[in-house]
Amino acid sequence: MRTTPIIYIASFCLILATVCCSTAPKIIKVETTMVVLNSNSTPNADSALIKTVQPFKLKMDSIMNEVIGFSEHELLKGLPESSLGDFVSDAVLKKTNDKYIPTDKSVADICLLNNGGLRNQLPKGAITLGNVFELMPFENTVVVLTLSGEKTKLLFESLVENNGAPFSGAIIKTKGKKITELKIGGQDFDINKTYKIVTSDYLAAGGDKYLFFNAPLKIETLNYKLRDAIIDYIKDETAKGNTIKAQTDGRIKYQ
Amino acid sequence: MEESSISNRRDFLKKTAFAGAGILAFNAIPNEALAKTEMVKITILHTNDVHSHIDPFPDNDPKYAGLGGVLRRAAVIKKIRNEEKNVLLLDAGDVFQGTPYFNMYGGELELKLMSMMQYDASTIGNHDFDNGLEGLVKQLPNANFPFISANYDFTDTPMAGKTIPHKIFIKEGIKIGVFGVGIELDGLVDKKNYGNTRYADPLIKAAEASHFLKFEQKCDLIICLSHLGYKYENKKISDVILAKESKNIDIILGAHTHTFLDTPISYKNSDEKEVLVAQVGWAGIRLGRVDYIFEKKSKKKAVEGYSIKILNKSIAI
Repeated sequence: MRTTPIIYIASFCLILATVCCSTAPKIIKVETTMVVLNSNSTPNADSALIKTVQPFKLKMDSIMNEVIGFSEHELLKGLPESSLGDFVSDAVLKKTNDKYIPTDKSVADICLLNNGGLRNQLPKGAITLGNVFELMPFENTVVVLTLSGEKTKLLFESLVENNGAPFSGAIIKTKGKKITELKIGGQDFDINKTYKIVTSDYLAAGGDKYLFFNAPLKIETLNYKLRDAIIDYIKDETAKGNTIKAQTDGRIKYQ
Repeated sequence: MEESSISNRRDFLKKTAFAGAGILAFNAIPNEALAKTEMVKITILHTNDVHSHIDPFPDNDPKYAGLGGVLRRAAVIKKIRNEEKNVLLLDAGDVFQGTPYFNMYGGELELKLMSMMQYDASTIGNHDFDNGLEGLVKQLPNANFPFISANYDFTDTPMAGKTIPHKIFIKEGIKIGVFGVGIELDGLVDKKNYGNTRYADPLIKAAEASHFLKFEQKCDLIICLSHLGYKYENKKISDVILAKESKNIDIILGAHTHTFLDTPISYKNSDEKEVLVAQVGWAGIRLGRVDYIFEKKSKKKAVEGYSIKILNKSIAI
């Protein structure tokens, strides 16, 4: 008999019992039970399942375990601002501008993504290709939208109203839910100007109810996946001998 | 107000936690006792939003290091099947998307493994559309269980005829009706991925399905597989809203919001009767378990629910 516990399963048990003849359960008793599954009670994994998984896993791991960079910190999700949100939106803005050839010579100003689109966090230390696939599993591609000053204003108002979102290229200060200061690319926001926003084709098409993206002045689709932008950014940093040091920098501040 | 009984229950839970802490038991109601009193136990196991998480989270994961994993889940399910006669294994959608297993194989392995674990049914989550309707249709032959949806009309799509609105399971004479509802696709799923799928109001479809199952099919237990989400700050239709508006549903096995509920939460339906709402987070970190105990003649029903956290340190394989 093995004595080392190899699996612990914690279980919180609630008992709800009925008293009367109606079909609706009525609670008469509540009990909590802590269940620990140790080596004595742990069943063995099914060998048929292991055999099924193995060829898929081997092939996948051979590609996805490639280390593409190193991070100094865990990059975590959160609102209104997070290290992961800052990192991803900075990376996508930077790599988009590396690829984007504008007809009017003006580069993209802002990147706006959605918090729900960041599907996993990044660990401290080695970052694998697989980590980035889990962070951004979707096949969404980068688009550059040209918005009027009016629509851009709407974008930031909505962002502030909804407790933030991953964005890059702007600094926002608020009082409550009212914007008191907005700088884009270091300049004061000007409602008479147009702005170029980098986002995903999913959000540009109305995903997550980003209504300010409706009917932009111009829409330019890059044949470039959001995920590839993140991968390329990390690889660039690694090639330059840099680690990922992203931390929140206070780009949105609620007062 | 509907949560008052829950907070009472939570208070009670806290008080009894000390008393119960030392007890090690898998089931609070032993099977021998059931036999003596001619009761039938129905064991519902459920998952949601597994999102292609076949392997456990790696040890350096910031939040879920070492948690989850299909092999472990399969082993726990197998153990429960050995102990319990009447097990129903259900999933509430978003089987797909989240690890490179999906990017590389399109959901093939996810469905094959669910079939091997003998899932009885699943409903359709918004991410199950991520490779388009064709992508879903292509993978369906890997599932030996049905996809149940009462409010997605796939008539004019490649998915036509590939789902069912409800299914009835009979276990030791107890009739269990299961139906499914899915979330509004517009604004959530890219139109090119859901094509001509028509979304119908889940509250209406749930009312129709549960009424049919209860009164025409005389089901003793009615389960809703929902991919609506637990609850929202706005008026968006959620499991909580469905629970309160409903009449004949006993339990909603939820999904979408990745909500970790340690136990199912009880709400009062529109007839002031109790409905349970359950959800076990995401990524196969937990397996939900709810045991309904029926007394056959009087149709009395008791329920116990808990979630099993699939933790660190793998089962030896």
